[in-house]
Amino acid sequence: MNEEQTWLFQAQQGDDEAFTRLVEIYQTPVFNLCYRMLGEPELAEDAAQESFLRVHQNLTRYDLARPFATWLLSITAHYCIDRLRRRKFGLISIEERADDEDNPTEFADPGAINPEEEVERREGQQAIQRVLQHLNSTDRAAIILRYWYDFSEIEIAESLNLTIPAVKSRLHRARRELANCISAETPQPRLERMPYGTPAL
Amino acid sequence: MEHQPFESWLLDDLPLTSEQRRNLRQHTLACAECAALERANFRLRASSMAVPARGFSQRFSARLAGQRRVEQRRAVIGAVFLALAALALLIYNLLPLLPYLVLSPTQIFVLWLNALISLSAAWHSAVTVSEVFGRLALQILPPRVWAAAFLSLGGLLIVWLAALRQDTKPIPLPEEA
Repeated sequence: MNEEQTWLFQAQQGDDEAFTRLVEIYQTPVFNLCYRMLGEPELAEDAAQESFLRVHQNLTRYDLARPFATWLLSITAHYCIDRLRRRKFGLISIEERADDEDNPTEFADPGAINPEEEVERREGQQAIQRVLQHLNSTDRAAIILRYWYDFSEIEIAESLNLTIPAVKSRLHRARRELANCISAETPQPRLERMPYGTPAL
Repeated sequence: MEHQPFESWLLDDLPLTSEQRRNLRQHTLACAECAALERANFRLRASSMAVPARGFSQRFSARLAGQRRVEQRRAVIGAVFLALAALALLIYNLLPLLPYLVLSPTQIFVLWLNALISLSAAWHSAVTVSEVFGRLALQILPPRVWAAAFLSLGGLLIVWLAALRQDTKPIPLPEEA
């Protein structure tokens, strides 16, 4: 039994300190998943906390033989999908709606040395965040689990309760959609001649 | 323009050999659609993890404690509500018996005796009323009508019994070949 499994076992016995250690380890992956899904740091923080609470409440049901990260991220992904669906059908609070109207922001990298690179990185991240918002919630979850967590198609299928062909088709569709969005966001050079312009030569 | 197999490689996003990568690069120089797919994959792969603000686990601990307090409060409120409901039900069931609690044993005995006498009197009244009605019926209808009614009822009974016997007669099974 490794350290993580020991903490998990202790947490299952009701040890809150052991669970807090697990929260410390997994806070970034869980927060990142929520942020990529919901697009707002405040909503992501709330969703990540809520996901950990759900995990804590259902810890007795967790099978120690399964990878904890997969189980945790599966609960988080389902929570975010539910939240997005509620948002879609207008079942969210006024505060939440107000947050949604703000522009998405990306966190600064404390390790960044070159400010120009940092700005570029931020812009790139914001662009990715913007195009992710075009996908439907399940496709988005599949893409995030694939690219940020290196989940295999089988793991994504298990996490999102989908079949493997369904995951494959969702990933294909999402990649096409993202490519279209990125192309639309990137200004294309105008190669054709202006119909009424004076020729240079 | 032929997109295959490059499009499939990009949509599946599987690792490519150096030769495949070279071919793909040549194709994407000419094909905007596949270039966009490649760019999307590249951007997704290059994305970093978003990190929460400092003190996430402390905030979670506080939230967990808050949740516990709420659950405890809910449990207490639930227990109080259940106890009150049980008490109300008990009082409701005991209410008819409450007057008996202030009576002496002799008074209770007298009450029971009264109840028995009332029951007996009611029974006698019912018997008397039915006798009176019976006599009245006999006096109103002539004996011929009574005889005809009894005879027709008897005939109907015989017909019914005959029909029953006919219906319940065992049917011989066909012989097996």
